[in-house]
Amino acid sequence: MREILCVASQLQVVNAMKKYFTDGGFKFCHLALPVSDEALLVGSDTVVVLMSPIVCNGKYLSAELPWKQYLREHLPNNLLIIAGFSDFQGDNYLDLLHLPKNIKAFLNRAEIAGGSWEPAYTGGLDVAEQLRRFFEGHGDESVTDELNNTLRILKIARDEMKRHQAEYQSVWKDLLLANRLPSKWNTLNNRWINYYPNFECLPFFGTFVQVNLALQHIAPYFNSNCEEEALFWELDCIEHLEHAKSALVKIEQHYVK
Amino acid sequence: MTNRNRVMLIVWWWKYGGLEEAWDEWTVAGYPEGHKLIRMDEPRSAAGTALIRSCVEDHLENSDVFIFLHRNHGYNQQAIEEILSGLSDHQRHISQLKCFLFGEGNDDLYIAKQPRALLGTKGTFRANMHLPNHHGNLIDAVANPATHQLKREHFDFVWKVYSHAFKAKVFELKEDLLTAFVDFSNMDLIPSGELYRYIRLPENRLLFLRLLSFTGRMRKGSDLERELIQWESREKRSLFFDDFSTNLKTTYGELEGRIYKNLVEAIKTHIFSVQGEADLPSIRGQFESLLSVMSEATYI
Repeated sequence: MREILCVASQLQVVNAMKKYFTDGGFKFCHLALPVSDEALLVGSDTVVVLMSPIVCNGKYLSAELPWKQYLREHLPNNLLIIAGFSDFQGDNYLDLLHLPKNIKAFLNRAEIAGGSWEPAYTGGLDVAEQLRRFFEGHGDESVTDELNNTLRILKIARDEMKRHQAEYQSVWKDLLLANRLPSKWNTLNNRWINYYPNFECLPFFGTFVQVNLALQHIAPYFNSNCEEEALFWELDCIEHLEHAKSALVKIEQHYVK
Repeated sequence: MTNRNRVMLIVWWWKYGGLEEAWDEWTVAGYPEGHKLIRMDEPRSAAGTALIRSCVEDHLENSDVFIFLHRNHGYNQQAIEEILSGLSDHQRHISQLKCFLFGEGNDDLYIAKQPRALLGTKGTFRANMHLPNHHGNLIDAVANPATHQLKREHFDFVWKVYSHAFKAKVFELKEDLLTAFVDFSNMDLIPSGELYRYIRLPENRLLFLRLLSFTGRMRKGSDLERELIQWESREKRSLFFDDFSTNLKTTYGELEGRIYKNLVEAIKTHIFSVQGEADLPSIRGQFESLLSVMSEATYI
C-alpha cells in the first residue's frame, strides 16, 4: 500500500487529510513539528504532502521551496504535494476546498520532486527568504556574519595565548572587550533566537538542532562576560563554533539558493 | 525601503519614563534625522486629537507615518476616525499612513512580547527579560540616552512588523477560518445554518469573536469585547480588527473598502446566516480579493 507522509501541524487538517487518503486506499503517516531527520527515511514510493502555509512557531510559514530543494537532492523520485487553502491549480497542488475525486489519478499526473517545477508561493512567511537573510553575509539580520566575527576574534585570542604566550587577562581586556565580544555574542544569540523556531518546519531542522546545542554549550563562557579563562578552554568554544559554522555552511551550499 | 522617512508617533505612559513636554522626538542610530519616534502621553480628548493630527500633518509630506494609540488612554475605533478624518483626502493617501490601537502588553510593540521591540516597563524603552544564552537580562532599545537616539534594529523591527500587520491579520483569519471549516470543505452542499452552528461551538469561540470584530459586529464596552480582550491577554497577540476596519475606510483606497464590504457581506450571508447554502470557495475568493488589493506584503 502506498504511503502518504503528511507534514502538517493543524490537527483539523491532519484529520481531514487522514480520512481523505485512507478512504482512497493509502497508508497515512503524520509528521508533526519539529521535523526529525529519522522521519524522512522513507521509501521511494512515499508521497510527501506538505501543508502550506504551515503553522510553526505560532505563525503561518510557507516552506515549500526548501522542501522541494531538499527532496530534489535526497528523494528526487518521490512525489511532493503541496496542500493548502489557496485557490491554485497545478499538478502538485492539492486544493483542500476542491479535493480531487480520484486521488490516484491526481497523483499519477503529479511531477516528481526532482522535476523542474516550481512550487507556487502560498502566502505565509517565506522560509526560503528567512534562510537567505539568515545566511546573507554583512546583513543586518545575518546570523552567520555574527558567528564568523565571533569565531575570528576567539581564534586571534587563542593564537595570542598559544603562540605568543599572552596572559588571558590582557587578551580579555585588549582584544575581547575591545572588540565588544560579549555584545557580539548577544547580537548573534538574539538573531539566532529570532530564526531558530521558524526552522522547525524544515526537513533539515536536525542540523539546526545540532548548532543550537553547540551554542548552548558555549553560552556560559560568554555569560561570564568572557572573563573566565577556564571556561574558554574547558568548553572548547572555538571547536564548537567551528562545528556550528561547518554545519551551517553545508545547509547553505545545499538548500539555500 | 523607499527614500521617504519613517515616523512613529506613540501615545503611551511616557510621563512615567521622563517625558516632560507635550511630546519629544527620538532619532534612530544610523539613519538620517527624519527617521524618528515621537513620544506623546495625551489621554483622549479634543485637544489630544488635535495635537496628534497636527503632529502627523507636519510629517506627512516627506514621511510614512504610523500612529500607535494606547487603548488605556481612552483611544478606540472612533478616536482613529476622528484623527484620520481630520486629514485631507490627499494627506490620507499621500503615503503609508496607518493608525493602530494597542495595549495590555499583547502587541508587538512591547519588549516583553518581542525582545527587539520598543516599549519597556514604566514608560521606558527598556525591560528586564530572561533570554536563553544571553549575557545580561536588560534589553534596552536606546542607543544613546543623552542624544535621544534609539537602536536601529529595534526601530526597524517594529516598523517591519506593523508595515504588514493588517494584511497578516486578515491572512491569518482566512487560514484559521478555512482550517476550522475543513470538514465541510468537500461537501457538495453545506446545509443551511450548519456553519453558524459549528462556529458557535465552544472550541471555535475565539474564531467566532474575531469574526465578529472583523465584520464590525462587536459593540464597544460589550461583554463580547471584554471576552476578546481576555483572549488577547491569554494568547499574547493582537486579535481585534477595530483599527483595521477604520484604516481600511479612511487610509486605504475606495476599492479596498468596497472589497472589504463585500467580504463582510459574504461572511454574514454564508456563516452568520441560518438560511441559505454556505459557499466556502466564495468566502475564500472574497478574502483573496481583499488580500490582493492590499498593497503591502503579508509578511516581511
